[in-house]
Amino acid sequence: MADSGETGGPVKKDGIQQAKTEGKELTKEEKQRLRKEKKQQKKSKEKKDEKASQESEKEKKPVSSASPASQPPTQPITPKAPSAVPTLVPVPASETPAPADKPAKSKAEMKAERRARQEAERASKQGKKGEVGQQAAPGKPKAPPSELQPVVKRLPEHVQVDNPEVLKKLAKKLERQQTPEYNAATKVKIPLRSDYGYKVSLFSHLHQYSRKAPLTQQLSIPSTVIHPAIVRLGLQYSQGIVAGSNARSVALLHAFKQVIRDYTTPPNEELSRDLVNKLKPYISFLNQCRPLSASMGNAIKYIKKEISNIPSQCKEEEAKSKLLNCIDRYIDEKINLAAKAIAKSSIEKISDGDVILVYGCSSLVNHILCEAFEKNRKFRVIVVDSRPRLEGREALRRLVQRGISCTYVLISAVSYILPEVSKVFLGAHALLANGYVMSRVGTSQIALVAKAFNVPVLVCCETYKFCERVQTDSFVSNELDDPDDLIVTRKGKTQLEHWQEVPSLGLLNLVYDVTPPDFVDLVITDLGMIPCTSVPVVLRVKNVDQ
Amino acid sequence: INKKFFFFFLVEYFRAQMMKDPDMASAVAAIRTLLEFLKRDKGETILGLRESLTWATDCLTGVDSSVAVSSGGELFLRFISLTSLEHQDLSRCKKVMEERGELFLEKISMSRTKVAKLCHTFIKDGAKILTHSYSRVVLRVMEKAAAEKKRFSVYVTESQPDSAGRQMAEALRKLNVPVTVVLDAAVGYVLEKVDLVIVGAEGVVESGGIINKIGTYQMALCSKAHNKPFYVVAESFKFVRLYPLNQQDVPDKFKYKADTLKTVQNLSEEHPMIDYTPPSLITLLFTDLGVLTPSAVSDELIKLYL
Repeated sequence: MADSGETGGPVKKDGIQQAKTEGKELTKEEKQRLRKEKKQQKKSKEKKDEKASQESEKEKKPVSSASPASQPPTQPITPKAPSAVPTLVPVPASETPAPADKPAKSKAEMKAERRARQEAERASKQGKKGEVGQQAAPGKPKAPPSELQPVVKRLPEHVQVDNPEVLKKLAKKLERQQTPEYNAATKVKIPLRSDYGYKVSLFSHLHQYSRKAPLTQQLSIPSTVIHPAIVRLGLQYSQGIVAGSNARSVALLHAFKQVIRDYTTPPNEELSRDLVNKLKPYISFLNQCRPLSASMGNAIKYIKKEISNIPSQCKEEEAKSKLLNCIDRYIDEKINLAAKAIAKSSIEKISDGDVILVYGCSSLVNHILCEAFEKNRKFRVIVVDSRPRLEGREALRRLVQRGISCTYVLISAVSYILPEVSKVFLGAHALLANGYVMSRVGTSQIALVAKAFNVPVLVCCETYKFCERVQTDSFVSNELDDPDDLIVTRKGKTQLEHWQEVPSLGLLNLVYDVTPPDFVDLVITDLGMIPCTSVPVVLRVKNVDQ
Repeated sequence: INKKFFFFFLVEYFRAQMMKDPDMASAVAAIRTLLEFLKRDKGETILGLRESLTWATDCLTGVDSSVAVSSGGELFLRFISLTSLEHQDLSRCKKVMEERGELFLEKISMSRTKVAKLCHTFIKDGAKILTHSYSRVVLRVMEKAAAEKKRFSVYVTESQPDSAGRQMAEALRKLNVPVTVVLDAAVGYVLEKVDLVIVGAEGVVESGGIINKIGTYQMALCSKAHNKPFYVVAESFKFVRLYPLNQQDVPDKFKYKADTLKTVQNLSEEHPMIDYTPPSLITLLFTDLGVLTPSAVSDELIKLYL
């Protein structure tokens, strides 16, 4: 009974969903239909209802989602349709006077269904939008929120790792992301990377991968879906060979250039649409190797925009060379020239006799210090480093090679050396819309201690790293690195070697943290020197420009 | 030869303006001078015109080294060039720029009135106000408040080394406002009695902080410790593209009087005339662009300068 009610549903649900997205009020007809379905579900037994409806949803999903693989335009409607029902159903449920426990039960089952559908919707949407990673609360609630209906909030997959349904949806999505091959035998799926080791409960919603099991080992040969340049890039990311947000973005853009060069438009397809679809599995693959950074996200958005703006009458060669030029220009403007502009502004802030503290290895900060040294400013540098990455050693090497006098300490000694310091220069991974600075773990600690000693903290960041996200703590969205990195061998003894066998022991290797704007005195960007609270102004100005 | 003549002309005109109307801000006098200079300039190109205006501003900064003069000059230049200068004829372009210049001057002469209108509502009946040194904007605010029949009393710091505070006290007595002159060192002592602190500013910097007569930073720190609101009143032409990180970071050319800079060899023995108050100590800024929080200043600056 429930089945029959729902199989009749899809077409009508389209109509309802469309009405909802247009924000119009439901017609009487549609409301009646919903009430009917609701009653039918109430009539059947509770548990059978749940199972039956959930199974029928899941059946419907692969059916409805397999078909849109070849019809991208219809894709938005069918996955949305199943979600329309559970969001709408609670409205009549509360309207109709029903016995107290029955609406409660059906609300619970509705919630479970709704969750599952949300996941499917989002999973397919993620592929479409290409926003892999950083959008925590993508803003547009599709349904006009009535006071009885909660606004549908979608969390990205990468912060719902402890939810098994989400993982199932992701696996399905990765399976689906294949370019349509004529020979079915060569269809290859993008493997789903599995988590490694015990995760600390506060961070169990994030992925934790092991470096010893790179994703590339799970790829079968020949991997016709993924371009070799991308496979190489993914391996470089997951092994940490390419690290640092600028380096990663530049490597990504170069790999995409290679992809574009080797691309040929299949017959009956438009370059502007097909190339974007081609890039989606690559982006999912890279995301599995190592979660994308904010700068990479912005670069990908830019490329997708450029590709979709290619006019359809443009010849393939011309279009490709145009795209390659765009990418080159992006790298030039946003990274190289921005570094020059930032160096110029920062040199004004470095005076003779300064003692500058830097943390870790930021390519931009190193560039600034080298430029200032060339302009004959007299200063010395204190490099602060931390385990397990020990990136400060790389920074130390680069600075000493130029002839700058440096001191090297570990982060535990930072309150000891801070009385000597006159300024702190920090790099950033991303600047969030509420003024928070996301950077390597340990940065917020340094900013905090510097504030306590009244030492000015300057953050250097290019504008392409500004992102629209808002975050106030480091828990919600972060990256967990390989926990085995924390194991250290001293005097032949490795204490933590068998950490997995101790049930109450967890190793936590965080990668990023956020620093509040009260601790940052100045942000130097290619647009000039701004206070940390003016980041939304820059984002606004940038959006107006585009 | 040309430059020398213009230099003397600038200086004389500027001084004459200052003497004619002692109530006028030095930046306004500077802008009047620049406008006159523009009218008389015989440049052939727009770029040349701009360069000579920049040079003129530098000359004036040499006479009166306050922050406002340099910021006013720069804003003037930006305002007049903000229009389309696509005309073929240079004289037409110049005419357009002169008209814009007059418009700018008109706008800023109204700015003090606008500020006073915004600020006087924050002075409640029976309030006790603390202020620092002699500021014409603060005076105008108090005039407005007195005109609104509010009863308030004022504590003014003496503000050494030039005792400008006494001048302020005289002006306030003429308005029949009860005023007491206190020592600079007595700010902490008197703060428990006052309800709010209002100061003027010589310059408002990008971070939202202010540059003002020496002693302002101390007053701001004490009022923060006592949890008293610290208000700043400033016209918009005082917004300047500086970003000091601390007291040391303020350029020397603003810290000392122009004559001191020219004559004295070792500046470290001279006492600075201004200090920098960071934005974390300021509650609100009253400007002719509206009532702003310190973080909104950067927003306004971006709008003004970009």
